[in-house]
Amino acid sequence: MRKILVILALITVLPLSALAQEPGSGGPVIEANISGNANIGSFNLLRCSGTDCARIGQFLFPGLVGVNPETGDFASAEQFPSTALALRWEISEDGKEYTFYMRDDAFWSDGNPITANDVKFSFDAIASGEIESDLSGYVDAFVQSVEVIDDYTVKFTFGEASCDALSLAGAVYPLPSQYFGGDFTKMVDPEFDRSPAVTGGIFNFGRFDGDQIVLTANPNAWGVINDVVIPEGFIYVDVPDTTVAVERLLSGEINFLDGPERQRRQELIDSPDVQTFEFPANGWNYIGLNLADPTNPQNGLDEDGNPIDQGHHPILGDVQVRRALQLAMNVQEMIDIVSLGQGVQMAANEIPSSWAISPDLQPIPHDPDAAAAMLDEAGWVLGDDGVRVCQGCEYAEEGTPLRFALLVPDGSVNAERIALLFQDQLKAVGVEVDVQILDFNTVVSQITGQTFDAVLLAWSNGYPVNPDVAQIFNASADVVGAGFNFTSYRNPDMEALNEQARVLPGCDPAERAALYWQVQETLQNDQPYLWLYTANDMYAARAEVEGFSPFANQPFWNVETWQIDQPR
Amino acid sequence: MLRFILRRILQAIPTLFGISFLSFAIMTAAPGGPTAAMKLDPHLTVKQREAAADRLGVNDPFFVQYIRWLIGDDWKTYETVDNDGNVVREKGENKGILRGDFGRSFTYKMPVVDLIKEKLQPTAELGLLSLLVGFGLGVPIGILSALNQGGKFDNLTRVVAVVFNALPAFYMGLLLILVFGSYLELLPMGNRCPISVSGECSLTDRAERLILPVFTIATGFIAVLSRYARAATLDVLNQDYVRTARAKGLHSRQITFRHVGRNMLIPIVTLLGPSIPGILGGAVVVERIFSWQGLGRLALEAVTTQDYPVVMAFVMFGGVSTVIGYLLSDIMYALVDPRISLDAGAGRS
Repeated sequence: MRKILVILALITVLPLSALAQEPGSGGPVIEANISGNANIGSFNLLRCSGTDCARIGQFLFPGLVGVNPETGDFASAEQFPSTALALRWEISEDGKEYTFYMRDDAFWSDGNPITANDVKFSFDAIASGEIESDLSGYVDAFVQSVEVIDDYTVKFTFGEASCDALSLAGAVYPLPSQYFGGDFTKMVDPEFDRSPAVTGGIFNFGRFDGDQIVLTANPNAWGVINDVVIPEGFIYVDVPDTTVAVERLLSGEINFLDGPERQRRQELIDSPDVQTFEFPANGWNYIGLNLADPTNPQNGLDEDGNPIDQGHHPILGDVQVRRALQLAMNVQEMIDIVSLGQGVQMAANEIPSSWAISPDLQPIPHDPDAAAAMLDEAGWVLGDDGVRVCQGCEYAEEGTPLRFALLVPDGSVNAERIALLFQDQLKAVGVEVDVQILDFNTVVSQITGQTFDAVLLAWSNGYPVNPDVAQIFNASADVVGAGFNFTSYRNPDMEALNEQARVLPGCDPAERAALYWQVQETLQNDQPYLWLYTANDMYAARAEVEGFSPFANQPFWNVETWQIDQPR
Repeated sequence: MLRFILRRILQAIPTLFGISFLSFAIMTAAPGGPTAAMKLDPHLTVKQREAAADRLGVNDPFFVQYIRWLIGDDWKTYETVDNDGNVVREKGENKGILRGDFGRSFTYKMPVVDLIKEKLQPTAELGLLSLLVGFGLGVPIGILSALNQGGKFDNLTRVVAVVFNALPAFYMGLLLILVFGSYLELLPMGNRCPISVSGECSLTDRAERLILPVFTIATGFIAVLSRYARAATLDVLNQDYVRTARAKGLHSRQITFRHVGRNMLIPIVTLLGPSIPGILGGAVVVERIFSWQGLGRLALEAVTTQDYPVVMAFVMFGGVSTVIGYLLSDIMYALVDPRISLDAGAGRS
């Protein structure tokens, strides 16, 4: 169905080509930047850290590997027409070598062709450690070498066969090596960081004057639909207050908004001046539970990779208690109250829009009676004051009340509301939750130090979604003070399934997905997290934006075709 | 006067040192640290996070960090081991605040001075104009209220002052945007210049974008100053010399401007000093609502991300502007009140 939609969307823009549109003849796309962080240090995608510079950088620098917006998976330019540089790729038999065949019609804004040398230049820059890139550890650890075969062929060699290879190769954005004279140390250049003079995307860099980042249509853009960029430009304007952003969209001062405030969404849906698109977001909320002894934090593995005895959390170390807590929670009530019904309950760790989500695994339903029975069975009986106490429980001392602290980072009203609902819902089954709203850095210190009981947090997935859970659930990531497996969860079977999916020969998505379904099932059963929900996101555009037909996480896949009346 | 100013500047030096030491100690003692947020970034390895902390120098003991911030480290050579096991010697790059180097922002990887320069103009524009409007409207309103004590104007301004004082800046700003920007469509809702690809921005464009944010900040000043000015005017009106002037048959305008106006200003100028550093505090909320990229928002962001060099630059900026603000107050005291001399030893007569 979606494929048909993409084709229809492409067909609808075809008549525009018949009109022989001039480049930049439409009005500019004006997006409100509601992140509040308009101080961008670098537009250079190798040096950028944060989502705002990436938002702009995607229009300036072409990627080696593209994305099919319909499936949310990596795609070459032959598989889905886009400005991706790779027309196709070949994978060696051992799965370690990827040879990318690049298009020869791609040019930098100074007229030089974009070649395999530019890809290698970027890789060398990251690998050198000279340019302070967030990608350095990421690429260093997995990419062994990048070799130029000819001007338009480049070979990546990875240390191991991994289905993450495309994601890793895609992170290496080519930069104009000729601009830096082939010397990547010159990339540490405030001038290029803040005002890149040579780019290769659908837009050229215009200016950055504090509150407005202005890009202009690239008159020589290549690989774009109908061979022309219709919008005059793209303006990313700083509007940190979400209420004001909605007002400015309604008034026509801006014409695109990503993530309007939840309370105003129905108003936008009902407005004849606005078109909207709602979808499950990439982030998901969870309550992480410390399974190990919080009084004596230990790493999951020793230096030789052998498991270390981490003890048990007196309450949350018992899987039966964790399952009971999930049953006691009414996640739909949280969605209804906190996110005004705009969200989807999670069955486990996979978001609804992921290609790897299990079609059969259902979210655990709210069942307080079953939760109470399970707690009774686990040796936690109801006390006189309505709080359960240990009588024959697995790990706590006799008489210990069923009480634990939930850490909540401050600054999010929604998180605080979820925490208070959680507290109420658990109280109904005799569990006392001490909600502690603390400074974010304090929370981070406590959870990575593994001295906490439970924490309310959210993960934000990358795009395209990588279903690998090694970083958050493998024992090797259970490192006191540093690792993301701060719950000290350990399940060798789950790790084996996850690893099998990561290195599966041929990387067939269907086969990999089936393995990830088992991972999700295991995680749901073992319950290192209490699974909450993913809130819906929304794109909103003014009615006069013709061509607006987004997919989840891909609002701008056809931005070059957008025809916009000039703003007032 | 010059000697007085010099003396005050010399007196300020130990104060500023004290401020810097205490602030640095509190800042570095705060939980988390600048690399705390990195701990939840799955793209970064443990080694990378440790390297980042080492590079920023935030793992060093407090005194080492403080001294480096103060006098720099360009006199020191660091030894590191590269990937091939070779020892690499590199000289430090910081000159220290005593030589005018505020360091580089951890977040933006650029010199703090450049960052502040970029953001200073919008905040100064907003703050100084708000101060001007606040004093320009607040003081005359206060005088008029006092001259019409108990009248309709006095009662009206009292109510307005209470409302202006009670409404928080963020609420007032949103209200103004809704009324003048959204419903009446008379004024733009934010930013310093029109949103356009061309970047054209005339003086009129700039001026109309200043009206709402300036008024939002100025309401607080107007409310406070009008009440102060009213009280000060009433006090002066009851002085013997005003009664004498009236008895001499001087025209009321002459009495108001020559005798009342000048004398009631004496307590008002004391408010000018604290108002100058206060501009930054007021700007934080207003800059956010009206989409201004100014110092207020930079300061707030630096505090939340624990960007030490930027936070310390703001602490020093606040300290210095407070010193300058009070110095200005003292100088203006002498200007409006001839009984006060700033020359050494003269004191108050």
